Amino acid sequence: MGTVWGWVSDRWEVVVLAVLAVAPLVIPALGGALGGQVTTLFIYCILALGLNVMVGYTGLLHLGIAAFFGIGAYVLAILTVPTFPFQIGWLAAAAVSIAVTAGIGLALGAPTLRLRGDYLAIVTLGFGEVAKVTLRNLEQVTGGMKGLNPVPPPGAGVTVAGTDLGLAFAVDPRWFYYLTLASLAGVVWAMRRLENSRLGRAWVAVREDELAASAMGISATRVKLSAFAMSSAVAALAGCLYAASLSTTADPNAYDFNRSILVLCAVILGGLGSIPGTLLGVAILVGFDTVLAPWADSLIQQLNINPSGSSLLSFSGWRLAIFGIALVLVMRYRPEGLIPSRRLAAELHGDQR
Amino acid sequence: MSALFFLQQCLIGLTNGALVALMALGYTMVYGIIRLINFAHGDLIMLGACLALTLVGAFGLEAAGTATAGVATWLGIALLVGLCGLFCGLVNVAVDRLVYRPLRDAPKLAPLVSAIGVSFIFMNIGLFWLGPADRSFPQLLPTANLLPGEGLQFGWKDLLVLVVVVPLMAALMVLVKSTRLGKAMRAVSQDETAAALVGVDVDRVIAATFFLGGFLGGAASVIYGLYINTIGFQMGFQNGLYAFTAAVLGGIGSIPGAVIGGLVIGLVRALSTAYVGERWAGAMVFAILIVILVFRPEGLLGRRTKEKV
Amino acid sequence: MKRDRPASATDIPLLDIDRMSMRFGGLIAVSDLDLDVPEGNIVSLIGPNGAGKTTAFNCVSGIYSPTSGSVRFEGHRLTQSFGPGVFWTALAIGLVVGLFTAAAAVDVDRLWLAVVKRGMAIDEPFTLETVRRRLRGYFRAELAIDQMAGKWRVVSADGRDVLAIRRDLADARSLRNQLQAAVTARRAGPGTIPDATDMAGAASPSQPQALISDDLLDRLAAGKARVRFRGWAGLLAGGLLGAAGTIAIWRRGRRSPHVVARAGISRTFQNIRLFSNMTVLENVLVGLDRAIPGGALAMLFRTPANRRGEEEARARAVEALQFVGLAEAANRIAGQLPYGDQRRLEIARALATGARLILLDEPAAGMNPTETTELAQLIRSIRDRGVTVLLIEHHMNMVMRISDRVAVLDHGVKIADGTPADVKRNRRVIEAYLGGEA
Repeated sequence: MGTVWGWVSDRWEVVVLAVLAVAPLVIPALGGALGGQVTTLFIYCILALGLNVMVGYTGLLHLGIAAFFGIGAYVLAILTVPTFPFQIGWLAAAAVSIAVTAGIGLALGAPTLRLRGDYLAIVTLGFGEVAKVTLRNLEQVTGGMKGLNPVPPPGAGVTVAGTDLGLAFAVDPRWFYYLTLASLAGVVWAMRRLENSRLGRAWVAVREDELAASAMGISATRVKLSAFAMSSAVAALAGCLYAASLSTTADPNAYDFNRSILVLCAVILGGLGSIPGTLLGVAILVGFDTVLAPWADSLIQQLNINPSGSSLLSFSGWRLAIFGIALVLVMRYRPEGLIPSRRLAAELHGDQR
Repeated sequence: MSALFFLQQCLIGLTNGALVALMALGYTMVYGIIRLINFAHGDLIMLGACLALTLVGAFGLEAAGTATAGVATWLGIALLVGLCGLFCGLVNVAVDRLVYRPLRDAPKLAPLVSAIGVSFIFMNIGLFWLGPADRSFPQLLPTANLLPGEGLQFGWKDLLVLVVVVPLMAALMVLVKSTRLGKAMRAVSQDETAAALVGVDVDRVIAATFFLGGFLGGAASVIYGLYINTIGFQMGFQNGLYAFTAAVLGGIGSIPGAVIGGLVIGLVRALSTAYVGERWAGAMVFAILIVILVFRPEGLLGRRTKEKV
Repeated sequence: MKRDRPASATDIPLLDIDRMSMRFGGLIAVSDLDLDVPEGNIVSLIGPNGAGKTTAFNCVSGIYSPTSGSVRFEGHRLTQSFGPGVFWTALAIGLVVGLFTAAAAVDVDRLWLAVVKRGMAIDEPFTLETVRRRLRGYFRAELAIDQMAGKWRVVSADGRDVLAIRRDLADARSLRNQLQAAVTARRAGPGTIPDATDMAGAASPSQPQALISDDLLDRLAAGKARVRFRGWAGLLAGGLLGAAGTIAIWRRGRRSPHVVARAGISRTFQNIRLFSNMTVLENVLVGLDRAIPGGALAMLFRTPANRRGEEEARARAVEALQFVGLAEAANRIAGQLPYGDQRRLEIARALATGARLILLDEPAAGMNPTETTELAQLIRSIRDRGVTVLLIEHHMNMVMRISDRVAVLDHGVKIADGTPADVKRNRRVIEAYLGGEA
């Protein structure tokens, strides 16, 4: 049993991927609304993995990841919607979007990452707010509160074996399911690779002791910039998938502080610097919002505890407080998160790698 | 766009800035002493405003029709400032005791993230207290212009801001400069261990700092309500962002710096609202922040800190 | 890690500290320190606590910038010089920031409308040529034609003012030209308003007839100067800010620890600073960071060069660990090692950077006598590998046994410098240590 379990826990990602890949064939509901929800969950997972590079590996508190998510979505939309003359292919647009967003991350990081770490929190927080307001104000470019739509599905106009891919995406949510699942798998793979490479070590070294790292010849600024760019790029990828799967960028308020914090909570709750932890954290928080809270609310309604409709007696009225208390408790009692990263786990439990 | 218009905007900016400065002090004091960005401070101010609104109702302070404010109104406002200040101060101390103190030796991220958590809890309390919609804060002071002539507007509300903010800041400066507590605060902020070695009760000094920061925040919440006249459970985020930016701008950890930073932010906001458009005011403040961080990362009045090796 | 000594080794000292001072506010931590470290030597820096030894180390390793004086390594100052790279970077960043502010100053939103969106409305092809033409039109504040609800409108370049509405495109075009001529004439001096009856016909219920007035034409005429001024002012202000900012940031970072480390000076810390959540091997690999080629993409796809570099680095890391006697602990977590091992790991990490000079800050602190003896042996063998050692230490026995030269600091001032035997006899040194009245 030990060997089987060992094999599974070593290659959990392969197992999970296989299960998720087969799921739509077994569970027909994934071809409907549920499929859309799971797709969104995957997109959040990608976003959280991007944030994890900054917060988890490099130890930089980033409070504006949603802005980069939004910029990614908007750049893709600008390049593909019929309102504008560009209308380039989806993949090319996504590539441009990722590059532009990473560039914006670099531009924001270059002047601020050399400073004391806490300043970054305020800069990213402020940037998140400014980006949201800018997206709202540039009405000609971003469509203001209406957002940009319709964002064509990936592969629109591309015909493979007699079927129009764009049409296929539009008709069957399972296409998006597989697209986001494949993207997520790709991101996990890339993160694994980077984690155990020179760059990954440099990230962690800067987190552990920036001064010692730079005394070893590592340019802490460059390392932090690379983390910022990587975070932004991955967030942009998530944004592209998000805009495509909704076929609109939605309004700029979809990319506000609350979303940044939701993702941050997921990364912290799951385990800083830990890939499975981050994924679990997202699953728990999204599950809380989309499954647990509605269920508990309907339960309260059924039991007729709350006839006056007071928000004090509804479950979702306590959402913020629950998140807040969770953050405080996790920081106090389990700062390494639910599934600690291997580097931290080893420290806490004396295992050897 | 005459010179008079410009002057008027500056006046608005300075008054607003004084308010921002009062909020910024809470950030800068706590940061100065334990290097923590107290994200919950903005939401603490929001809670103070909730209490202020409730107390205004309880005291029956709503009548304000005359050209000059009565003695009762001023006394009422003074009482409000005191009570809300006390409330916010005590809440801040309690939070420090329960949340931040156990994390004193934890990595830096831990208290920071906890502060975000606390801000959420506060926000939820505010949501229950005020409800989801913005609430209007009663106009307690007359709207008459105090300056002669038609050109410049400077009303009772503006006067109120100065009357409350200036003495509070002066008192704070005196306190930090020349009292025992102030010296202890400066000692702890320089070197916690050394201060403890020479007999300073570090935890008490930190608690006192949280109380003072909270008190100023509570005072600011009353002024905010009376000056802006709209409060809501989400106001803490925006105000906190501006106030913290002011603290960084002035040099975080420096009390006069927070004041200067607040005034700068107020001016930038007022002038960009007047000349560029209100919707870009936030972006302008952010741009100024980045420029300051590039050219003077220690802030306008901040000192370069040396890293301990 | 074997290196050939340069021919110049005998001429100039490896490290040359010249009248270096470090002040913190009113406190003078190091005052006019002169110190030469010849290549291949073990030089010790000793002195009572608070004598400024660690501050001197921090100045050398780039953590502090000395208030005055200079530090030269192999004859070079350890700062990044202002090269063409910095110049071009500043220029490029200035240009980017300038273009950004210029766009903001002339109103990005309106610019976008004029250049990108309006073409969609009137069904113009989107080519480089049309983009150029529309950009020019925007910066000349020329009137343009727009489509709204099936009708053609004559609008100002930024789309803020609607001058006329026509059902027919050709009509609208000729009207635009007519109005444009009137606006251009205004720029030279007062002119006439074009045929007002024609305008009246143009107005729609939502666009009152009084729209075209002297005021409006004057405003449109002034538009060109305004948009140009804003554009240039934005470009200039942003450009200067961007370039100056780049240089300011460069200035602040030009003497940072990593520059010093890359030049070939590495160090350990008095209060051990390992990457405590990483394994022992990983700690050393961080020291070997620069030995592994390839950027992020190379690491992602594990290119052969990257893989080879990684393998070589591992072999070198293991070698460095063997050298300090920690090879068995390679996969343990650094923070869990015993104290003495952590000190040796710091040394291995510092050696791995390929440094030619290594600064050891109290390496024997907290070690027992046996460990101290082993450490002395280790320091000797470091020197025998061709790495020069500058040492801060309080264990006088060890210092006197292994040092080629000893310098003594007291209250930031060097009070003695010579062979261990000389220093031992020096009266001022004895006074400094025994606290005698001078």
